Amino acid sequence: MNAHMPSDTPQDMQDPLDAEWVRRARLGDHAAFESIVQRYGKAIYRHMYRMMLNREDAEDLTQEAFIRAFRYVDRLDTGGSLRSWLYTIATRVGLNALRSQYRRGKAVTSSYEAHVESAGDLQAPGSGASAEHAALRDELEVALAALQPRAALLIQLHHTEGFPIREAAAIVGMSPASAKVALCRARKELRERLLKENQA
Amino acid sequence: MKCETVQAWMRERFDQDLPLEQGFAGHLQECAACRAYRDRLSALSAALTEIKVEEPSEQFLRSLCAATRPVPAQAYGPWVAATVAFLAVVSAAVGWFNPVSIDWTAALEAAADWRTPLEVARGLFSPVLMLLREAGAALAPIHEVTPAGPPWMFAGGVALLAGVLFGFNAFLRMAGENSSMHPTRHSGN
Repeated sequence: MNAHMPSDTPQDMQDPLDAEWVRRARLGDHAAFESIVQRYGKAIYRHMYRMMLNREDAEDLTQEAFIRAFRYVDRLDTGGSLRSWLYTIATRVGLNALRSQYRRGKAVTSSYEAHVESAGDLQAPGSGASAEHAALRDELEVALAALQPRAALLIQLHHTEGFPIREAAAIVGMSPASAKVALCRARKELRERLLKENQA
Repeated sequence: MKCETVQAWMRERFDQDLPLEQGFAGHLQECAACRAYRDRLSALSAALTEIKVEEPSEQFLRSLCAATRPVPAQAYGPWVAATVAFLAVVSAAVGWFNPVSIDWTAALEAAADWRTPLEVARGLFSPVLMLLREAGAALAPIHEVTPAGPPWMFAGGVALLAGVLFGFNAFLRMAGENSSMHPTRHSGN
């Protein structure tokens, strides 16, 4: 491991504020639930959007994920990370939805195509970046949508959200070793696609 | 050192998320092509940390708070549980003090004769109440008649009675501890 990678040290200690909210949520404190939604609602929505690639599904499933989380808030380990736990639930909800869409024969490609069309309209952090950099990010968005869902999730959880590999792996339900291999393959695929290096 | 070798090595290090320059600093200072290639890989690495996102609307976040807000348990729940427990106890008591054998065939036929909503309700509940009555009869210390039902009916009735009372007790305890969670679903955007 090296300096430019996100830390791979355990981060699953409970944030003191989260711990307090979880304690109060277990007692049925409504304000604690709201605080949790306000803190993590946007992040979980973005995570869900990255999986589903459309606003409607992302909204429905974000809500589903929070309802499940609150229903089973007693199951969160006292010392566990609320953030990781919410991401894990959201990932399961999202992957289940993708699976059922696939089983129903709903064209995942239609979401993908719509996403590709809208990629240029999405907000990007760092609006002062060069046009070249912005174009790269647009292409990256499209390339990510073409990856296997779990691989794309790993890239986003590890690189964009800053989860250590171990936690990102747990969130998507993989072993750390498998996650490392999947990340390596995903980065290779992105590199070949975006730098036009496909030697096939 | 050949540029091809350097670039292949950088590719491999990029894929493994390792620093690109390690071992090639000298070559990179001299070779503009490899520097440019390194810069492209670095830009791609940087782009991975700032992937564009679709932000949720404020309206959605507000509705999310509302949708996941717990609501108090329904007020009529304890009344339903109390009524069920009362009927169970009364049925068992009737069986206890008046252990008359039930003609199950006729009773079930009558219960299955559904024409009005009242008969439907009776049809659904009376076999259960009769079972409880049989249980009461089976438990009666001064048994004068032999109940017509098979032994499993008595066992079932006793278990049912115990279950109802246990469930009622558990419900009261749970309701007393806190107002249970019943998150409402967000119905639209």
